[in-house]
Amino acid sequence: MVFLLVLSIFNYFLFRIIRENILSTYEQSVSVEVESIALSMGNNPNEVPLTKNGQPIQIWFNSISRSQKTYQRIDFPKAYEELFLLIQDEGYSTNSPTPIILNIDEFTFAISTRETIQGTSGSVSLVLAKNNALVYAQIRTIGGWMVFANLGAAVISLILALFVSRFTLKPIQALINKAKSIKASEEMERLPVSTANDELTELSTTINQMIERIESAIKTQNQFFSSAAHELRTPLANMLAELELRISQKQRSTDRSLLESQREEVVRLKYVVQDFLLMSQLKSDTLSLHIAPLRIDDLLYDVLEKMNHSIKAAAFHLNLFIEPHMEHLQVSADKIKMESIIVNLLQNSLKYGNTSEPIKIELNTTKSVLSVSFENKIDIQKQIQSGNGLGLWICGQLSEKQGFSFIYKTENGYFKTVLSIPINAHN
Amino acid sequence: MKILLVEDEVKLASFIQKGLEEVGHQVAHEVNGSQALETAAVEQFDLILLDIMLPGQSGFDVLKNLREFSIETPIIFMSALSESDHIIKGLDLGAVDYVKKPFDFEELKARIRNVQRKFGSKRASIFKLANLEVDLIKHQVIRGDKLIELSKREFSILELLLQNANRVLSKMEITEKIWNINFDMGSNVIEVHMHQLRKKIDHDFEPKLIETHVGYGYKIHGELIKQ
Repeated sequence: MVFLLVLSIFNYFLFRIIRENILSTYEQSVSVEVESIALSMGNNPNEVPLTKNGQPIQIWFNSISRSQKTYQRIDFPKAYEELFLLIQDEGYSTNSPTPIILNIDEFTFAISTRETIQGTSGSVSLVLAKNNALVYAQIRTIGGWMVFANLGAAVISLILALFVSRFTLKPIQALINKAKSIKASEEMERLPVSTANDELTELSTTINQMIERIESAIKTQNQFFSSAAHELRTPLANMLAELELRISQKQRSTDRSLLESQREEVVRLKYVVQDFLLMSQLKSDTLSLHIAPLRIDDLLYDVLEKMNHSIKAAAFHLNLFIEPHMEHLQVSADKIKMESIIVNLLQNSLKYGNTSEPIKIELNTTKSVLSVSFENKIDIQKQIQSGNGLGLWICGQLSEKQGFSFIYKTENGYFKTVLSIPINAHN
Repeated sequence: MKILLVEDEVKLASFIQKGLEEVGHQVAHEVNGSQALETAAVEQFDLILLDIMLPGQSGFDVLKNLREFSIETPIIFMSALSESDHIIKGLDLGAVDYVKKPFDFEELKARIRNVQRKFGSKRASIFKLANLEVDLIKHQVIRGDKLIELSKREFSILELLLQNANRVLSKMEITEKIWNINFDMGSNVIEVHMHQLRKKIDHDFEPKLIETHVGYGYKIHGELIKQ
């Protein structure tokens, strides 16, 4: 656009110069033409010169007192018959040795004055009225061609610019495309480095060095999360084992309830550690999946059994509904990741649910999808205070990684999560 | 059961040892792999609870060495390393189960019971009733000459019905023994799994073995042979 604008301004001024030159040349030619006609006329005002087509003329005899028209060609413009007298009235000197040129409307008037026969007082003026239509038409044609050339030049320049830029930027575009395809992980791909000693080689090498630093940072982060999770699990295991041993030995209900409460907190902490580890793997795209066939109902029961203490402690009831005649309970999935999803969904229900109604868990199928849904009446105040948290984000990410869909919604005071597993693709 | 516990976290080991001893198991404790190998070589154990991250040789190495010495004692790995890779490696090496730390003690006890059921040689491991044959160790069910694939819970329900053959088991009894979860009255878990079990065991075969006692429960009937 800038190029087009600059080109237009340049061409406009160029057109102005050409126009002025053409008009100046035209005026000179009219001047020459009127002189030539005047020469052929001689000095006698009654002598009518020979004129061609397009040369309408008037001849005026100028005495001391007045000017008198002695001849007018029939095609002389009627509106300007008295022009000669008018310019005399305006104070113009018509006795100039060079022709007077006047541009009025669509005509150029040229006036050439000569002395009459020697010894007599008076002069003869020849007025030539040239129609400018032709010359202006030529100017318009030139203007049109310039506009056309302008646009043509712009289009050609644009095409050439695109072609040249595409050709010259091709290696950079290849680098950009490759860089876009690289995912953050512990083993990231590298950009190709050419053997030429140019800026592109330097750019690729610099980006590759940056990738190495990112890779190293990811490894460090993952090692940290993995070590931190391991280091946290060991004392948690000690605490959990000790609490369970003490619970089994305590007979007094007050002591038992205190220990059971402590155990619930330890169990919660255990799942938080697991979630943080998963989050770090998801964020750094280093999560590995081990897909194998598994029965979704068995996995669900295993998790419910493991979390039975927490369910009882939170005083929840479970309403488990499996679609009768359900055939597709076997899916292909990563057992550990699926377990994490179900644990998070159940924990979400325990955390935000209202104990006045049971947690409704359903296994359903359509023709192509097996769905696992959790629904419970929610304690809105609890949810507003805590938000939906990390758990649902992890569920969404783990589902997506395995090619499943995961949605959640709050409606009429009930919170519902649905995990949908395509049957055809996984059976 | 006589159990060898290999765990370098002395505090955790002492709690596990006490907990298991309280429910009647006899537990020996070792803190590293080399001592565990030595102990397992000179004494006979029914089960080894083996940590993975041990000083000296890892739990994986201990398992490999035990098998090289032809010590085929069932092993359950216990570890804070809960990545799928570690679990798969452990099971591939021949462990019978894997418990992630920190674990509920009930979960550990349930897994030990499972091993006891599978490897306790004194108990019958094959049940036969009419032309139905159930192998409790191999988890294999054959009716006529057809191999039938059952899920974990379906197999447990069938095992429970066989152990109580010719006796009606209430839905509540089945729920308590198989699930250990407090289901709401509106749940249809038992009905669905009994339907699936009947479909697999009885649908294409004669005689029909599973009976429904409307409003009460279920029964498997016939002459039971234990081997």
